[in-house]
Amino acid sequence: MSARTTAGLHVERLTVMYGPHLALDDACLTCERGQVVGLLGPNGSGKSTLLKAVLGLTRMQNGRITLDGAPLDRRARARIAYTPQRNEVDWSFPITVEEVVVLGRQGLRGLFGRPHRSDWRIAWEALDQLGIGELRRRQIGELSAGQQQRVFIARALAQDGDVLLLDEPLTGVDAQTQTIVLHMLTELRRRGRAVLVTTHDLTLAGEICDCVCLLNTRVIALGAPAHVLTPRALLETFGGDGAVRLLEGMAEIDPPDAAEPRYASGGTPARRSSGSATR
Amino acid sequence: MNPLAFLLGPIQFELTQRALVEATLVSVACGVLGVLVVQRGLSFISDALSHCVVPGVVAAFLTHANRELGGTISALIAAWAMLLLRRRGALGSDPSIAVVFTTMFAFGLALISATGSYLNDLTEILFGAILATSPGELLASGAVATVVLAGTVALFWPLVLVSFDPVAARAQGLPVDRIELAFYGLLALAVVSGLVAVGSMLVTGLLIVPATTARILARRVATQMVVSGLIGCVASWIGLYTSYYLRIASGGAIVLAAALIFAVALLAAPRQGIVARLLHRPRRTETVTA
Ligand SMILES: Nc1ncnc2c1ncn2[C@@H]1O[C@H](COP(=O)(O)OP(=O)(O)OP(=O)(O)O)[C@@H](O)[C@H]1O
Ligand SMILES: [Mg+2]
Repeated sequence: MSARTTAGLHVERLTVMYGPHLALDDACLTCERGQVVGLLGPNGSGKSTLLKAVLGLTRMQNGRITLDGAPLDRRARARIAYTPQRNEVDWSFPITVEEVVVLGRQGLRGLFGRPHRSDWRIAWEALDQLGIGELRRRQIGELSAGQQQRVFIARALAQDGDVLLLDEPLTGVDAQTQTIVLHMLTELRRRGRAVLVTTHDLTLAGEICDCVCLLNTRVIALGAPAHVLTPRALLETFGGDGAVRLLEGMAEIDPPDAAEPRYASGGTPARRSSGSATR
Repeated sequence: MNPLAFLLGPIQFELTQRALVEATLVSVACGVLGVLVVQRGLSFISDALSHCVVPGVVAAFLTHANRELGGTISALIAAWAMLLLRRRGALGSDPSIAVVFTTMFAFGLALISATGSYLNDLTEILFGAILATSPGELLASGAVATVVLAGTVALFWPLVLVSFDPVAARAQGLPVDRIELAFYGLLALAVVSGLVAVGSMLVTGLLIVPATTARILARRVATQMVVSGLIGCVASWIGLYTSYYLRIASGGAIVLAAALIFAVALLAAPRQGIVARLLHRPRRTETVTA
């Protein structure tokens, strides 16, 4: 897979270790502009780790990450928007919702930059889009968990990056917000953004993603949803029980029999030597 | 006494005018920066840093060098040592801070006790002596306070982001380590700027008391900074006038004034004050029967 062919985010041979623990093993992934890529895998499979490695939040043992062909340095990260799975912020901080969102643009403004009028307008639009425009003067800690989640999605939206990394944006929000976020994803794709989203929702991944990546420490399969979401690949990724439960939930997607998932390691999926024993 | 004469009394001398300007600058700067110090739970670090300036100031005393410079150098060395101990050693943050600051303070004490007239000098370092300070020193500490104020205003948004959500700041590609370094540098400078006005023992009071008061009174961080700066300003005036008329130590008087304002706010604040809470406390019997 050549990384220089298209514009977008390219992750090549990414390996991340937490001490002796191998969290990501030689993972390769491409997220082109105008594409929504879904990252699927069980708990602890390295989804969040992959996003964090792209952002430089975790040290990588090995690997190369490029944006539009250029290696990703600190400055280029201002072009990547991110909503973490769990926000570790100071909830008691005396900051309003609109200030949280406008601070999504601080990386663009630079060290001594302050928000311009246009930045505030963009922040308000993002809040409106997430349906929480009327909360903008509230203190962040005074919101419900789902409302807070929406604020941080709005912040990523306001950053207006070329790449969006969304770590489980659909977890813990109501159906209405899920619809808003899904609409947002298609809109971002239309505007030529590269969107990488982790989720546990297989139906959603099948419906909305242009490309799905099945991850369990290493990339199990990568490709169009219909090709990748096969019982065999899901079994390989989630183990027996997990795959059955997932498949029951997504009966409407029929994977074509002939199509084989593209296995990252080359040939047929080998049985996982380590890790599977503990499950 | 006629009120005008009362007000004009202290400011008819050039010395007291300068002292008033200097104390105002210092307490405003400390008040503004203090909001972030309090919010981030760094009261202990700021107190520790104020002990750490002592050896530098003593060295400056003994060599007739600039006291602010000496204090800044030793505060920076201390801050660096604290960071190093915390990162390298398996020590927690609190013990590494405590080890460094007691060591630095003991070293300062040892240094100054080696000289003859050390009690007077020590008193001045620990408790300040704004009315006995040379114009040059006043100017220097006023300048340091101005740098603290300007730095906090210039770096306001990055400082807010790094304090509120450091992960997001790093993810956006902001130089988080450098912003943190700047913040601790400003904190060290704030501590140094307060040496003349209130002395090293009480400068934490200037950083913490007005900011804590502002937290009761205001909701947004920028508003809190304005309120805290104003409280610092008022406290320094009340303190200096009291110190002038009652002949008590200026440092003690200024911090006492700040504490008095805090007590009033605690009682009478519109929403979070004790009185307001008592008045608005829901009565159980009513809600049950309603
Ligand atoms: N800070 C850390 N220190 C040590 N180990 C970690 C750390 N963060 C994650 N891990 C380990 O790395 C592995 C991958 O974690 P990661 O958070 O990437 O999983 P995930 O796929 O996002 O899971 P989930 O679906 O629960 O969000 C896990 O086994 C986890 O225990
Ligand atoms: Mg995760």
